[in-house]
Amino acid sequence: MRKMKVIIYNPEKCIGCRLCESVCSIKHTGTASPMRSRIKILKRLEYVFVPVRCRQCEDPICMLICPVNAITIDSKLGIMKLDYDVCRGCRICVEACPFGGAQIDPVERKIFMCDLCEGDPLCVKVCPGEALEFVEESEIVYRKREKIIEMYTKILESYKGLIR
Amino acid sequence: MSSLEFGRVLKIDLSTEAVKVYDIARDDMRKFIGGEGIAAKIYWDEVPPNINAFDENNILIFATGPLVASGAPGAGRTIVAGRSPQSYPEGYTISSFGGEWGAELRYAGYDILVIKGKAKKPVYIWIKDEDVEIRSASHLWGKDTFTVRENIIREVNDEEAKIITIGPAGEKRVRYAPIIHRSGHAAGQGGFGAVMGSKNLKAIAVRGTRRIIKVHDPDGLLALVERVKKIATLMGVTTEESPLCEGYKKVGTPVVSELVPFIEKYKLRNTGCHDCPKGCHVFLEVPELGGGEMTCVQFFYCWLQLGAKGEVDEACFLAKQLADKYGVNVYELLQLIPYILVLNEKGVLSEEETGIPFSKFPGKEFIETLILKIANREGIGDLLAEGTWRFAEKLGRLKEYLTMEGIEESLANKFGMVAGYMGYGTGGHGYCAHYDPRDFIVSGILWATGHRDPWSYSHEYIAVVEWSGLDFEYQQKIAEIAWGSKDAIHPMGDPKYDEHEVRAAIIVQNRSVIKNSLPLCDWIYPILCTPYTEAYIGDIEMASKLFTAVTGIKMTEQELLKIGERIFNLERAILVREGRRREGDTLPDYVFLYPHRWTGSPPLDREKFEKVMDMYYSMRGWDVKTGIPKEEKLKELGLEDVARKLREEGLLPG
Repeated sequence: MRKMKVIIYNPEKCIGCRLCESVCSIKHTGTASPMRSRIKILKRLEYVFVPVRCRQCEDPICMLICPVNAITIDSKLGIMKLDYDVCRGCRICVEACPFGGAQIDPVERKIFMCDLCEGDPLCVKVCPGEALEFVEESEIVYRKREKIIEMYTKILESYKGLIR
Repeated sequence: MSSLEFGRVLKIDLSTEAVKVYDIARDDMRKFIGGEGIAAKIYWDEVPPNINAFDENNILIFATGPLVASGAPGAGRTIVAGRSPQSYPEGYTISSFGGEWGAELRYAGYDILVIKGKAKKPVYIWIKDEDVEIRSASHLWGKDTFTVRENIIREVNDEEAKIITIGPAGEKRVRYAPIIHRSGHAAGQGGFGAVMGSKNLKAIAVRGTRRIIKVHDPDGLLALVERVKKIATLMGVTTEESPLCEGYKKVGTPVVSELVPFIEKYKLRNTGCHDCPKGCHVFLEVPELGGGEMTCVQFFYCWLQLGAKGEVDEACFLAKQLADKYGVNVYELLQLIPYILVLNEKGVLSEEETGIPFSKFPGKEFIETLILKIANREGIGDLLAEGTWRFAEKLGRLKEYLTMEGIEESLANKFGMVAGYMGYGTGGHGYCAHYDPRDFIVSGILWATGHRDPWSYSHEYIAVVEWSGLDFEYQQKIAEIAWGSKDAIHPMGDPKYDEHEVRAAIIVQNRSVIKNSLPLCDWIYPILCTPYTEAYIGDIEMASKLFTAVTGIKMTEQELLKIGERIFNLERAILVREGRRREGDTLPDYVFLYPHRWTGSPPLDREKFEKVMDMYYSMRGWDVKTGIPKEEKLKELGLEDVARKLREEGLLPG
């Protein structure tokens, strides 16, 4: 079975500091550059901060479209892998990915995408506002449902004094 | 081998439209690091001593440092330097702002931007990597900073462009006009917005997509990032006893707990600066007043409201919005408003004559009228635009303003609750009080010898003695590590006037300039105390560790302090050339006359204070009589050329 944990984003907690971009770039390239980061925080209107990154698709279009089959999925961790011995840097995956998850490195001229730091993503670790979290897939749904519990609890509380 | 890749200067002469790119000598980078240090060096080399702030030969320096955009947390600041119209008398000073502009400048390939000359017509500068354009800003002249930002983003067609701009107040040369970035970051003190205005420069937009910042020791740096995220707090808030604790915990910004409900009501999210995990700004959205970022002193009208009526309302957000849109420095308003209220009470300023609705304070109508009059220099606003100090002087009331004779009680009360923490009236040199010398003698030494309000960029001492909330014994342990002796601190209002306190002041100054040179944010660094270690002791070496990890240059805290001493002496030499002597190293008279009305600290003893100053000059290696650095000292610090120039101009003592 593929994929146990995924990165989720809580937009209300992001402070827009872009430390995730810097540490990602430093870890993977030894340099600090937003151009070389696997994650990118897009900003609009001073308070809309949206992270763009590889979403680790179930049926990735990059993998499907790659003419030389350079992209595979690591069955143990569920992480996208790119075989640089095979990749020709044609950028078709960059064009195909609807999320801008695949990029080309401006220095090395190589395609890169998020590797989830081999299962321990650094962006999540340094994120100050816990806007990024690395959680079990099932937990995403559970958390949404938890919010509904809160709503119904409120309804129940509003009945207080009415029910005897 | 080091990776110090820093020192590329973009120099723009607005008079000739000449654009030049050059590198600062490697030796100078080693000696002055970046930021404030390198700005002081450029200023020393290029600005003649006897011009006024609005002379076209004045220059504006925007200096980042080697840690900016390197991934070092809390290195989001840009230092601005030049001759300041706000200082009294006009003179060299620095200002700084956070946000993302400095990082973007580095990504564009430049570390320092120097603006010279004066444009014939209003212009703005657009820097996109190697392309530098001077564009017409005639259509933006007179517009507020929010509108200008939106317009420029549309014109350059790049949502990611980072913009600094001035409002109408800067155009009108209001002496305390800040440079505004985003909706709530500002190079506030110094009045460099007015200098931009005097150069017909409305805005500078930057976008960088090329530069790759090298990091010498990536793994080492990443470990430090996690460590800072873990142990650093804002302003050293360490225990529940800190007056800032509730604000810090609940809304993430250093405000007193009384403001927490207001912020919680309108807060959209926390924001902050590039690469900083602390997010000390809040983005508030108030119906009909729009949205904007705020932190600390932008809550000035809230403080005044709390003092006046014990509660805050939406007018305090309006005050911040108008100040940031029109480009008026909130810090100066904090001392100006109580002062004109007192003059109104005394019958010196009337509603009819001035058109300012004093009776409507602390409401919306009062603050709106006041800010608009100042920004447009309309009527009485023309005088108020000169700043509180010069305003008092022009009314012939300077003596009253400095001694507070007959206005002391009233002024203290009008400053409201904030007077207890920060003092009231002026602190000196043309700037609003900010931590009172009567409470801590180190404040007195810093204020006397500073070129502006010193505590705004050297909170480290106050962070421990006032904001940490730690018991005195714990503070003493930290004092020993940070300032060389447990006697570097004293209980509030009970100074010993001895060498331990003087040494503390010197170390705080040296560390403050080095912090502004790397640069690192004053609200986080140095990490002297923290709730997360034993005995609350932080990591004083963090700045040097970050510097070494990024650049590969081996550096200890002590070595950094030595560089700080060099920079501080260079700055003193600049001030000396501009006429500063010991006679100018003064405190306003009232601190020697009255006890502090809110904290109860007794007035300073003038004789003992002068003795402390004697100690200060001799420990600094400066001439005690004149306050001028001695030749030996300058040479010891590797400032031979500075000593030579001072000697040539007949300024060296002996």
